[in-house]
Amino acid sequence: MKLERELMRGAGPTAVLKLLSRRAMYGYELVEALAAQSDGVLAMGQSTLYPMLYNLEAKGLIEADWRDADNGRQRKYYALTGKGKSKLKADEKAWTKLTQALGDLGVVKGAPA
Amino acid sequence: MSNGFTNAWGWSIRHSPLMAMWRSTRSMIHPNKNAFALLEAAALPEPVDAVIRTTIARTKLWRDERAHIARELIAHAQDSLDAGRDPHQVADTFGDPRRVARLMRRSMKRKRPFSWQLYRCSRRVAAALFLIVLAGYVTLAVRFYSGSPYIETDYFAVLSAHDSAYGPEQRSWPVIAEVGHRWDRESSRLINTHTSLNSILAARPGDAGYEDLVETVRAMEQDLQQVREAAKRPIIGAPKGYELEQVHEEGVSWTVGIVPADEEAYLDHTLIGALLPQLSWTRRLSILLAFDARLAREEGDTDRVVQNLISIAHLARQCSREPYLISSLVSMAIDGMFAKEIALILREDPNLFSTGQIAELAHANAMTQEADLNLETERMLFDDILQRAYTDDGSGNGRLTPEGAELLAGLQGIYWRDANQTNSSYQVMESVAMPTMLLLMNDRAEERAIYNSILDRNKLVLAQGPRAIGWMSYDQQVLEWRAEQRLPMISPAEMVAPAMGSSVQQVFLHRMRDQAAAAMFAIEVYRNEHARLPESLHELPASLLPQQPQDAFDLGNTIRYIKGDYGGYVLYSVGADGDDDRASPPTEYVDNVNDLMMRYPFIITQDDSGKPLVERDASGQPRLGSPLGPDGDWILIDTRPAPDDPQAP
Repeated sequence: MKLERELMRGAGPTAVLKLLSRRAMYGYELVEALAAQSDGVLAMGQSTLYPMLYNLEAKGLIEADWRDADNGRQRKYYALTGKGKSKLKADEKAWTKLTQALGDLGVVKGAPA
Repeated sequence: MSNGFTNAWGWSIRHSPLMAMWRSTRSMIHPNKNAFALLEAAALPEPVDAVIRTTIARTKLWRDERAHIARELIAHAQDSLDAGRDPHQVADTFGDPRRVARLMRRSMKRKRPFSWQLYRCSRRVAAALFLIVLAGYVTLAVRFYSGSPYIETDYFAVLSAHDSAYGPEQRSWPVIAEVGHRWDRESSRLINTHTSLNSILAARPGDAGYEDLVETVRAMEQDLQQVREAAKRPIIGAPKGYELEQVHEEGVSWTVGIVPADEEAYLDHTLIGALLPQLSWTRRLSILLAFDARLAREEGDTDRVVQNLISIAHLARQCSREPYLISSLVSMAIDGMFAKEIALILREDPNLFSTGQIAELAHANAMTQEADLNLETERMLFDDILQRAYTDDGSGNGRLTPEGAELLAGLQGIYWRDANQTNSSYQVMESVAMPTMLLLMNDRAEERAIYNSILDRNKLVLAQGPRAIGWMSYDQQVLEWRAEQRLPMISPAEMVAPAMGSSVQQVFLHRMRDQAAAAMFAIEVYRNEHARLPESLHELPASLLPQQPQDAFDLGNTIRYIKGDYGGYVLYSVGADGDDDRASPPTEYVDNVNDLMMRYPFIITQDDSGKPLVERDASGQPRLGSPLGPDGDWILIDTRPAPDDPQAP
């Protein structure tokens, strides 16, 4: 199941920030991780991912640098900035409240009441 | 520290406006060069290479930004291929190149330097402003070019009715036109032959061409007799028209009359465009009569002298009956010439006139109406312009029309347009610029209100007398203040205001000159009866001088009178400085020496908004400041012979 565009626009950046909070990752790795760890719900192609990364970078939430990979090629790794960490914390709180509110309304099944 | 400093410098240079400009400019030439070089080096399978190539090309970003994206997409594709994906599958996951390129472009631009963001923002603001201005202009242009005037009142008929009660035998016009044309030709020949005759009345025996002038005037004696007879008629009664009747003689065009206009002609012409050759002819025939009076005196023909002078007074009277403000001014000028010529004769020949002749001259002087201005015709002239220039919404208001803009352009000096320009690009520019006139000009009701307030103020000042003359300068300051509060407005009403104010002043001054002339006649009768001059004007009995002449520059007091050391006398006003200098004229040169506004200046201050305010006394009357005029008096009548004059003892 894929999310509608508007939902994805809200959830996607938070999901990316969350992944990057664990460690620096490169584009292909992020695409794969989003698909695998969200059971395909938050899967996005590079056509969506890279513009999103550039936006987050423009806002100063993430930073990027090119590094040598094991196979001898170069990859661009993205990492969370201090500002990005604060933003992620705020997003997590907001999503928790949202999920709770939707649970209270019975929209989200099994959410804490 | 040093490294940090270097990095900071590097960042500043990379993100400087100059660098942003350089990157933008460089991208205009081979924008894909770096990106495609990376793709060549990566040697990706054809479908993957093609989709990245297309995407990159469509981003329309700077060259280094395209290279940056290419590098990242190449890495992504290589990771996908390394994971065992089919090249076609990898290419498919890139999505629609056009959409991807658009998303990339948007997000990449957000990363651009602040200077570029600022530039883009200001460019958008400028574009938005331009669109707003354009929309406003289009609205204005539609409004301007959709308006057309409506001529409601036939003021020409109103003005033509002015003379309708008079028959042909009561009009001097045919004679004025015929002799006026003849004198035009003769005086033109004289001036062309003898430049010294540029001013006929300044010509003196011995001057070059003087004899020619004398012969020419003598040859016109029959014409002059016709003029003397015609001058006795009630009115000039010239036809109203917009076209001169002309004849061509030896390559020169001469005006011989006016083509009477019909109602249809009125539709195409403003009332202000009506031609008035009768005024210049009347004035020039008055000069001819004055010169002939001098000749008559030399010949000992005093009756002719008197008849000529009386005829001049009659011509002044006829001019004053013409319904225009300009005709009032011409009438005053001719009347002034009448008094001045008599004073000159008396200076040289104090005993020339008999008591009866002086009485005749005094009667002629009294016959001219008291100087006034035909302001109601001015109101008609202006209303006529308004109805031709503005639309009519039925309630007295309206906006400027294209025809109106053309009309105002034709009235020289009323606004900026160069009516002689025929250059097509100039005309296009003018058509584009014309709708903005709606912003620069008042609407019809406001323009009329301004004009009426100016006109009504002039009438009020005329009724109240010279002490109220300060209202003229106050009104002028209010107009200037209004102009400062708004866009640089173009207002025909405001432009004619100062000229009207100076005409009011002329009326006051002329009334005083007229009274001085009346005093002169009374003095001359007294001298004939008593064989001496009176010691003061108060010595003159009321039968000779019913009212003492009032000094406009010294209200409540009479015009000063002093007998000359060698005979004769002088009648004078104390002048613009308000003090008596014993008939010494001003030696200091200032513009408009005899300016009543210098004598009775209002004290004008400003309120909080800068609007002029007139200071008033306890009774509510405007307070007057100190006189500003130059030291010296204003000589009105002077019959004193100069010390070297043969008349002097």
